[in-house]
Amino acid sequence: MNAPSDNVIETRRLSKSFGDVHAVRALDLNVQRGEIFGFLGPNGAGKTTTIRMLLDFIRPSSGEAVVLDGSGADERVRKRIGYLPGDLHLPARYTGNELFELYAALRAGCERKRTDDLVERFGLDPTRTIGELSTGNRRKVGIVQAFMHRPELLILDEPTSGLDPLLQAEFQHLMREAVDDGATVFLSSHVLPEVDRIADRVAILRDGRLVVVSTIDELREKARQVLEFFVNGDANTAARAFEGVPGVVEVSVEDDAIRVVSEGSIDAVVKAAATIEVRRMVSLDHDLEQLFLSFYREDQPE
Amino acid sequence: MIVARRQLADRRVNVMFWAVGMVATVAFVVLLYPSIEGKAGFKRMVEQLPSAIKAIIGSNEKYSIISPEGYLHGRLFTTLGPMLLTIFGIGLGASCIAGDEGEGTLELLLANPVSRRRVAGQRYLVLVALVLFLAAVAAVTTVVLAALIGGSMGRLSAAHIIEAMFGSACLALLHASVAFAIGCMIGKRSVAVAAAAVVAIAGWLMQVITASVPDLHWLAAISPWRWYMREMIIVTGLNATATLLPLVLCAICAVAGIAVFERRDLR
Repeated sequence: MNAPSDNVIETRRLSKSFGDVHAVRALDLNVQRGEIFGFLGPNGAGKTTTIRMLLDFIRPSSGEAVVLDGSGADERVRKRIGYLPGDLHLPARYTGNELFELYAALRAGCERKRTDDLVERFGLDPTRTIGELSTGNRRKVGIVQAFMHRPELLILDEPTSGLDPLLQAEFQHLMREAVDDGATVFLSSHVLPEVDRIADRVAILRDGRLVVVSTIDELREKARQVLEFFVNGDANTAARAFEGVPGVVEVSVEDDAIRVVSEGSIDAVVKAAATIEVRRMVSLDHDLEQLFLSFYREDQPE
Repeated sequence: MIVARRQLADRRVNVMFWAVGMVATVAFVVLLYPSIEGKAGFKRMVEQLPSAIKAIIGSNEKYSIISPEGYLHGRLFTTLGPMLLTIFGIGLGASCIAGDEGEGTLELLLANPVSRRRVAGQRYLVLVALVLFLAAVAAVTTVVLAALIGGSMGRLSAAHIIEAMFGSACLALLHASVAFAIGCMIGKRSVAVAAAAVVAIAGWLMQVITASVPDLHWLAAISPWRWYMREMIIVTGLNATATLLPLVLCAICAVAGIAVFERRDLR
């Protein structure tokens, strides 16, 4: 066997058309071993189509996808993948146990204990038929089957949709643990908060095209930051300290609060703030979302 | 055979109901025989029917409807038997791939280390096994009840009864294989059922028509029902036209269906 490459997923000019609809266009992606890779884009951007090509459910119109140094069409490759579909349909007549037993038999070499641990961890009743379960509990069945064989690569399509916040946190732990054990996670989502705390790098897809690939830190750097300074004395006077400071885009005053919007490094802003009397400071780090949305829109920033 | 075992477990309850229905149908037909045995009036009535109607009720020139061979041939082996087996086979055949695909559960199964060929192939084998199982249930019921009734019915060859029902199963398997293949190719259960039903009904109509218009040899030649009914298996035993011909077509359907399924996009 060849030495494993650093790329767990590598797509080259990967494209898929359905008739006149170009769902994915010339996608070049590299997902590196051991990272959590966020695959972002609005609904209909081609995320699920890409994932279905990675798993060989549909075949590319052109280009190719290399997964774990092979192809998703190869059973030996799929044995090393854990997959959680976004649109999860489980056989309604099976119990959780029946499903896990079937998948364990097909995958061969699953530890029973691992499955039991996951079932317990997510508080799932595996003796009930899946048709009887709530949407959230069905997601749990989906999660357990994706992680039960300790796969090298997890392909997770909108994994936390339909999960309550407690379970979302538990799920994030589970992803972290998998990565700590050497797994790679390919995580698709249409919302940033689902991935920005956990992903190392993100790709943003729009209309089947790759808009940007970047680390979350780089994105953060590009993102605007909003700081609010509450001052003693006249806020209007104090606000002059931020005039002409590098990176400051906007300064506004409301009562005793000065709102400063800045781009890039915030160093100069903090130094400027040191010259005035600040009682309290609030950082509103919401603008990663704004930046993300700007990538979604037709006319993106340079 | 993990996929096959699971498929058998999935179908267990359904097949048991079908088996009960099969036993009831066969019992109803066979146990009715004593009430028409030797009834010359009934025989005359049937003989006066137009030939197309005779074909529909399965009447035969050589063996009258009131003889045990003619009765079983007409009421069971060329009508209820193959029809029930065909309906069962088409439903199951269409479900093998297209059923799961329509429900959206096929992709998660195929995300496992199992090839499309293995899933489709093993499910096809289960389909064949279950159609043969139902035919065996019907055949054994017929043999047992014929022996119980005794008389001329009891003197029928058990081997020929079983062979006739095997012929029915071959005919049913042909239609089941068409449903399986279309389901594999298109991925839509309703289309697969419809296509196989069209083949079955068209073939059956052809044999009815050729029975009344004997000149249409070419029509008879392409009707699978005619292949099966041309000889009375209950009298003559199995023949190649009734078995090998449909079984070869079954194999072609299965191979073609799986080959297309392996290459196409899932829905």
